[in-house]
Amino acid sequence: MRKELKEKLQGAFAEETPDCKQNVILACEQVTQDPAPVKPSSQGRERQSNFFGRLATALACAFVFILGIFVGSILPVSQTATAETFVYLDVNPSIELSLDENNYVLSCNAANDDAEAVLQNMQLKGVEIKTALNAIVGAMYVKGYLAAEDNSMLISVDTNDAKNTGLFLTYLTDQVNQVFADSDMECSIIAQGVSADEELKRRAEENGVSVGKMQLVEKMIDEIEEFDENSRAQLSQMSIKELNLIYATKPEKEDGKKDDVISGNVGGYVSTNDALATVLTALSIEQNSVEWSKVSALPAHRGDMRMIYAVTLKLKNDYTVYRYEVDCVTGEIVDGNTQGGGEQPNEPNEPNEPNDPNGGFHSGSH
Amino acid sequence: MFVCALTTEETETKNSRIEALLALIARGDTAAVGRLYDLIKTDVFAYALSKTGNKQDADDIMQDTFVKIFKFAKQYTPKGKPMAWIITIELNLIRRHFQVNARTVSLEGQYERAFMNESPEQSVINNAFLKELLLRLNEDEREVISLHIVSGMKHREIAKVLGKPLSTVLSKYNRAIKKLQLVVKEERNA
Repeated sequence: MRKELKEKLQGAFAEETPDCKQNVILACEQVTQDPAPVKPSSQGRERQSNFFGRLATALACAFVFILGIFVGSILPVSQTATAETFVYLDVNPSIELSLDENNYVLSCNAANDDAEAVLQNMQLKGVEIKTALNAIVGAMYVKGYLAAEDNSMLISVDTNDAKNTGLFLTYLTDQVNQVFADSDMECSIIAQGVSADEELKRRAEENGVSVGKMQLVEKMIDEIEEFDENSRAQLSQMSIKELNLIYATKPEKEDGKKDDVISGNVGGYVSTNDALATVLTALSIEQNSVEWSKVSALPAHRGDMRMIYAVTLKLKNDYTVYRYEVDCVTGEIVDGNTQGGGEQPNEPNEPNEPNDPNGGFHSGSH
Repeated sequence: MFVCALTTEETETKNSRIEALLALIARGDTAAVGRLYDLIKTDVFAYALSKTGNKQDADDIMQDTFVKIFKFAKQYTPKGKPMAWIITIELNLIRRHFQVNARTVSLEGQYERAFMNESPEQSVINNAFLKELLLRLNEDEREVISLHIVSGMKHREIAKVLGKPLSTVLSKYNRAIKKLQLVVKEERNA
């Protein structure tokens, strides 16, 4: 029986496996191999949880911070060099760097007050971008804008050579990942190419954010139906970690095109799967009864700063659509209702009043 | 008690061949990608299908996985466990796939779309046993089955790659085997 089962399984999968070898080889021929060996992620490492571990991390970051000040003060900078590339770094501090053709820093500007605090007394002119990144990340940690874990950073690149934007983004992402891994810190990085026109720059200045963060906000307004022009100020004030969570759970593009923003896994929040499971448990619904479901992170619409998952699901053979809100941090249901003709499976519904302000929605309080 | 996947010797030989091919791929040899494809295409496809429940998605993820293997081959450090590295790449692509879709679709729903009339022809799953597997096993059970029986990974390796306790992997595997044995038994009696 066991041998038969094994052979059946292997045979079944083999029979269904499509043949796309030529496509794969053709695709590989157009791909540039990544030359930089990347240190393994810190995910599997034992985390430093004791005081001395944290102290060592802080000292390491402080060292690169001081190194940034020192190196920047002694290296000469060509006065005639022109900026070839702009790099925008956002956590909450928003920092803009311009680079020459050899990736040395020509200028470093603070786009908001937090960034001014980070760059205070730091001279990064003439420093190679790799060293500048070390110094900036170190300063952000020392000044409390980064923690040991659950960080998010947005890296945006605007370059004259659009063809190499992806490669340079990969290089920068690897460098920042390395800094975090070396300090036993965790960070989810969002990376994007930017094409900064005057209008984008004006909006960035108006909202006190970098051009990179402004572009991410504009993309969200364009691509996520819950946001519009009126959301710009609110989104601009949100942290990169919150924007990262929203972006990571946004619906796919309608035209099916691949996304040009790379977003990592966001730490510090319950997962979308867990949020859905919480709702299913509360409703006493089995996973296999669900026809479709959607889980998107959004800011709560109650004037508070909470992030919520908007969980929408429909059951098979039932016209009912369940809409629930789950707190992204605690995983608790904060609101919920049911729309449509089906019955709520868990508890008896209150009959709707004729002038029900919910317009046919059954409130479900949990 | 467990269905034995590949023998230890078979697995070691396979792993050695994969590592030799990865070394060639790291030097930019695209022909070696083709040889690697022939060697592990079923492993990679089975895992993608077990996670997505959709043949078309699994096909896309399989192709992307081989391209990523080519792209990052220089970063592989030979440790005798290349399938764990490859599955980690694939798992990241699968997670990305679900993130981009920004939805958690019922796998049974995906399965239905995959071989019912509404699907494109290339999405149709023809093998009756595989249809039963997709219907009766949940995602976690299918995942463990494909990694152990098709890819020949040890339960301990699977637990490490998936970040789950070994006991969880073993219990899911046991449950899956029992369900599949029932399918085989029903087929015999039919």
